[in-house]
Amino acid sequence: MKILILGAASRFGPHLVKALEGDHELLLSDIVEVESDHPNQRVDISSLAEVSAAVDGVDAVINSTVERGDRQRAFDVNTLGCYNTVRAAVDCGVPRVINTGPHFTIQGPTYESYDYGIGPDSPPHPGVNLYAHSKGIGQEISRVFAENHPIHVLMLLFYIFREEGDAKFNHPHLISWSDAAQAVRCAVEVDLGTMPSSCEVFSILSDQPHGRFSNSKAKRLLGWQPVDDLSQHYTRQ
Amino acid sequence: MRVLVTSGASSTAELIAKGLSGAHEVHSTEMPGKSAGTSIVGCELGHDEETDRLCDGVETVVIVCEPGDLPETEVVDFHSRRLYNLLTAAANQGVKHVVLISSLRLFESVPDEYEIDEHWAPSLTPEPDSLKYHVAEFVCREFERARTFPVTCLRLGEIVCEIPGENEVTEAAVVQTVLAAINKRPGLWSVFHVVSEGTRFITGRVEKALEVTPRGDQ
Repeated sequence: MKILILGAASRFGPHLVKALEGDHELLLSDIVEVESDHPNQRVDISSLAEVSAAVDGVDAVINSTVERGDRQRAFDVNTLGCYNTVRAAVDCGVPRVINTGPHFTIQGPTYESYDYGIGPDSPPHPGVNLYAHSKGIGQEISRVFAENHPIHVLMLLFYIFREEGDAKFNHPHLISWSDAAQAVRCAVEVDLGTMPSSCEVFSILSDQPHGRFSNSKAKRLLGWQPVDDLSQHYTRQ
Repeated sequence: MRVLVTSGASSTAELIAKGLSGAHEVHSTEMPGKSAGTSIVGCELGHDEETDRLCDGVETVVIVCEPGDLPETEVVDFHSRRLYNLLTAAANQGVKHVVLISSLRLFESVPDEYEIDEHWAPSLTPEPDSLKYHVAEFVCREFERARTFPVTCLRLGEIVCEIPGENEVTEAAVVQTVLAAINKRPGLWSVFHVVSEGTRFITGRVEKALEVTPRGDQ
């Protein structure tokens, strides 16, 4: 499969490349130069023309772009970037778009401050935090496109990236970089005909005892299984 | 009461501003290029003090989603980033209430035989002229959910001067309903469908809660 990775120079980018290379043809892009042996190009995701040119001819797009701080850039990347990606995918006949983002793209403060057993199929409540809000609009726009055109949008929600041996961080939404990248690989390879709808959201976190968030949908529908043991982060020493 | 109306150069904003002016101190704002030579305050709705100043002393903001003919990506940007900037400024300046002028175009693709009230989910399409209302509602709803200020969402039929056809709303009914929304301030996130004619959209909620008669005295 020929796959375009938008935001390949992000912290997540190298982990995605490692998980996919060998079995897939990768085309890397970012607003800055990507250091890699794979073909790569500079693409400003806030430009529909640049995204359309990059998307043309690929089988799937992974959007791992992110901007958290500057308000203009946050909306350019997180909101317009999603619009441009799905719009270009529709125009170019690309059947699969994989979005990535923080859990509060969907499960914002009005869920996580109150509830347990939070699944990924909740109506979006990102709140007004800039990062969450701009990502939330981007995902909502993607959903509208998926419901009206022959494409699938699979949204993978992560939050705290930690490895075994890192400084302890007892958080209910942990994942290792490797397991997160494997989840994206599953989303790339899953038979789209098995998806219940054209837009599906998945919570990607390790197997944790907190009970606040659930990863069961990702296991059931994507065939994904986290393997890294992060229990040191929530176990008494 | 001091009221700010956005997209000030649009026909809808002009109608609302004129209709409110007898009862309130109304200020209109518009993108700078379209406000030249008028009393409308030009503002980019950027992340800056200019947008803060726009909301200084304002009690109610009426958001009209008609920024004019823009490329599709700018339509998305206007109703996401610029609206977020305005609502953030409104929150910082202590605005008490937001009235969003949305549209019943959000239900255009629902089959014609159904009778639709405010419990129905919008049937969305990605065309910018429809998507903009959904994005604006999304942004406003999250500000209300954060308990920043209550938002009254008025989904209007197509606006006409006098004799309304199916799913249309008269100018008089629009003014009457916006005035009532400002004065009654129904609280939380409140959605109302407003038409003057036809059986597709039910108007019982707006008639009861805001005590208006968009269909006239039928």
